[in-house]
Amino acid sequence: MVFSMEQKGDITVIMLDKRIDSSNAYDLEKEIEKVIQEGKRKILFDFSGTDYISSAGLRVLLSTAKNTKKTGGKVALCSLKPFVKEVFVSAGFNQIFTIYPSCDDGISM
Amino acid sequence: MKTCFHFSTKADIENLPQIAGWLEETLAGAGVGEKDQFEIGLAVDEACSNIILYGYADRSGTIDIESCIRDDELTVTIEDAGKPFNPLEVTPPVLDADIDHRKIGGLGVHLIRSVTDDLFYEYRDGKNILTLVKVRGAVGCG
Repeated sequence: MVFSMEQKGDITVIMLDKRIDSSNAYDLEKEIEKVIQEGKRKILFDFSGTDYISSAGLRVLLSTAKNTKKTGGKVALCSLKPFVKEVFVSAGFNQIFTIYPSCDDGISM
Repeated sequence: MKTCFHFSTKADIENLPQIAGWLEETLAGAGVGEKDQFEIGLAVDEACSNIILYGYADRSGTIDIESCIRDDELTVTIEDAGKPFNPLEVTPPVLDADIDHRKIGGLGVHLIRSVTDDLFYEYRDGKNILTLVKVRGAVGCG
């Protein structure tokens, strides 16, 4: 597992690793696919422990968002550190994803 | 003053964190600010990922990295003997498409461009040579 997970009501909170790059993005994608196959429809990605994300990680998030949308689900992100947020903004992903400043706020997604 | 450091590693996807660790240690040791470290680190990681996943997709090889630190500028030169690939020719992604139409292609190179001030590419003697240039931020903030 490249993340840990917690169920809060109908929301599945996925706590991501310190670093998400091409070396672990594939494993992350496979693990998330399993979560979606289990029928989880609301996924909140907790970035509070994440210091780095590359385009490989963005690719996983985009594919997760596309997959959950097909089943009427929803994906949101929370607690992005400033440098990580900068990557999202540079990629225009802040327009695609709902980003909550804190994960407590995200629980109301 | 200019100080340069060199690192060479097998082009294996598992080695990306090792490259990042070396660069971070080198830059932090030379007093480069955290923001500059993060941004040049992102550019190097994206460039090396492309080399490993595409340039060396059908062969094994090495990646040679040289990082040079000046008072006002960072340059990182990355060399590989994989397939010729000029990142400057990659079409920029459409950033304002909605989620259904959003494609991920070209995002790595877009990120490289967004965090560097200049990029140079040449293919010479069977090698891709990519040079990333970043103007350093103000001391203490950069």
